[in-house]
Amino acid sequence: MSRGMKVKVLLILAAALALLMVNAAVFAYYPVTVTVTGVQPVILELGANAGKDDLGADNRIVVTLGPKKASASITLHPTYQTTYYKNVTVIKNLDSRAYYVAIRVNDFADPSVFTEASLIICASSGATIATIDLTATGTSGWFGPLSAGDNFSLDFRFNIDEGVDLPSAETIGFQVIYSPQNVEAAP
Amino acid sequence: MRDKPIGNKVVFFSLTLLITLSIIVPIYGSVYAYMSLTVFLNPISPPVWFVDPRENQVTVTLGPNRTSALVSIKTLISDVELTYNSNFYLGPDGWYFIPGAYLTNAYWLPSYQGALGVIEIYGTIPGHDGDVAALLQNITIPSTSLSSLTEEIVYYYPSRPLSVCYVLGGLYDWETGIMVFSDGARCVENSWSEAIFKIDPSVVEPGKTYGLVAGILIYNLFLPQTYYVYYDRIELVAKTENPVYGGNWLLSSSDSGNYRGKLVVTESTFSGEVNATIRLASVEGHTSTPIVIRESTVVAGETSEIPFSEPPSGYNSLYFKVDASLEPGSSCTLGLKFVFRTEGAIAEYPITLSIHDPELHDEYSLSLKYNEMIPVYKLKSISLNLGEVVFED
Repeated sequence: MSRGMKVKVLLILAAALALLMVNAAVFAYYPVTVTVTGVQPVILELGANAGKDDLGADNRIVVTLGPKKASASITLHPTYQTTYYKNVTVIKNLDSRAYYVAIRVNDFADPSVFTEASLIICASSGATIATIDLTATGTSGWFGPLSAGDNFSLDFRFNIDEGVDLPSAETIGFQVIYSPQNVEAAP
Repeated sequence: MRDKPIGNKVVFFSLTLLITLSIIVPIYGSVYAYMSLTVFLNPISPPVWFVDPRENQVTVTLGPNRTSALVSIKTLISDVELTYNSNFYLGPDGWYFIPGAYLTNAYWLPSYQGALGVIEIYGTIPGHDGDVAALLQNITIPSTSLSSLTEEIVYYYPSRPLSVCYVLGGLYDWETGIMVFSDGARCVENSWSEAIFKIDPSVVEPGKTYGLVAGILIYNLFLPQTYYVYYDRIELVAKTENPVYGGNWLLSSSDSGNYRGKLVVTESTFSGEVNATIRLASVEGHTSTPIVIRESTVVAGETSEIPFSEPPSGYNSLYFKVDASLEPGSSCTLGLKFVFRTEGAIAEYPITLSIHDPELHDEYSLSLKYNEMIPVYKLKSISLNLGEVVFED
């Protein structure tokens, strides 16, 4: 490297250091306030058959809503062959805008016992909007929209073949996801 | 070197798309709310289950948990027995007791005087007084012309001094409230005896349900005495011109829940000409509207819904009844589902029912009736005015 070149390199390095020092020493502050306001545009409600007689003497269809109606636990008593539960829980839109809905199954029913375990989502007209397989994990596509003030009801259908040993208990966990858009999948 | 014009367009549209997405996506794409639901399933043993009626003309194969059934009915031309559980081998199922003023007790007993499975009627009749009591079963007359109709009653009457006893046969029309047939025969004392009543087939309507009555009339000319009468068999036998079957083809029992049930045809195949009505009847006396098959066409594809619950001991909750008439050599296979529900749950059990003229099929092995040492059952009573007792010297 020639002497002239070395000088140029040193000058560039000095300029770069000077620039870094300048940038490091200057801080600008713009005030941004993030206001978190709790809103609950969509809630869960008891379905028409919550609390009604289930199969088996003294059994009831038990639906317990969380304190803010953002969660629910449901207890059902299916038997062999096909058992259908209509309108157990309702998804209600309290907002003035529409939302899309998706279902994510996290804990699924044992397919070696349940040849079918389905969540059936119905519009307020009674028409079936989506049928979700509850014997496998996964996230459905968006369905709806759930219009302002409208609701979807949740039905369940189970099938247990004869000859299978009945488990004493089985737990299914899933999430109702809602969003104002239906372009991106829910994270 | 000159830039190609197409390159500028790509850059322009790419920038436009990026700007658009950067506006839209941040507004709608990043908001998701999650609500958790947990479903606890507590599967239960079947609260309602099928039972084989053990009828001679019916072969029943139940699933391992008695929630499915494969049923084959063999139609016959001659001597068709229209009564269910006519010999009381397993209990009083299907039979009702019509008490009198004094003859107010009726029980099923495992045996009496060498006969297995009998029904006992007893009560104390004051001196110079009489009484009448009866057993009743609802039967359906086949929907085809009959050449004869015969009621047969096998009974045992232990004698009492200065008493008169008559065995009564009859057919009660529920619609009109009158006996379309009634007759009596003097009791034979202290031995198993048979009373046979020939009924004119013209007094009954094909396809209609009647109450078959097997009664006892006693008059006491002495001091108060306790009377006993035992029944070993009560039959109504019809002879028809076409192969027929009328009676139960399946039963169901249940726990103490309150249910409503119906039958629905899901599929059907026919060969030849088949006429049939299929209905449900409950032990409490409810009867559904029928599934109707006319000339091998399903005219009404489901029954109405009827309520049912836990039956009394020795009885079943529901009786699946059929009245079928076939042209010789005909047959049909029906896919059915038995749908029952509570207030909030609906369950479905599958059934396959085939009805055929055995002339074109292999012989079927008959389901054997057997006796079980089961407890004494009190008969279920119903009200039916049999009229005043009129004693003639």
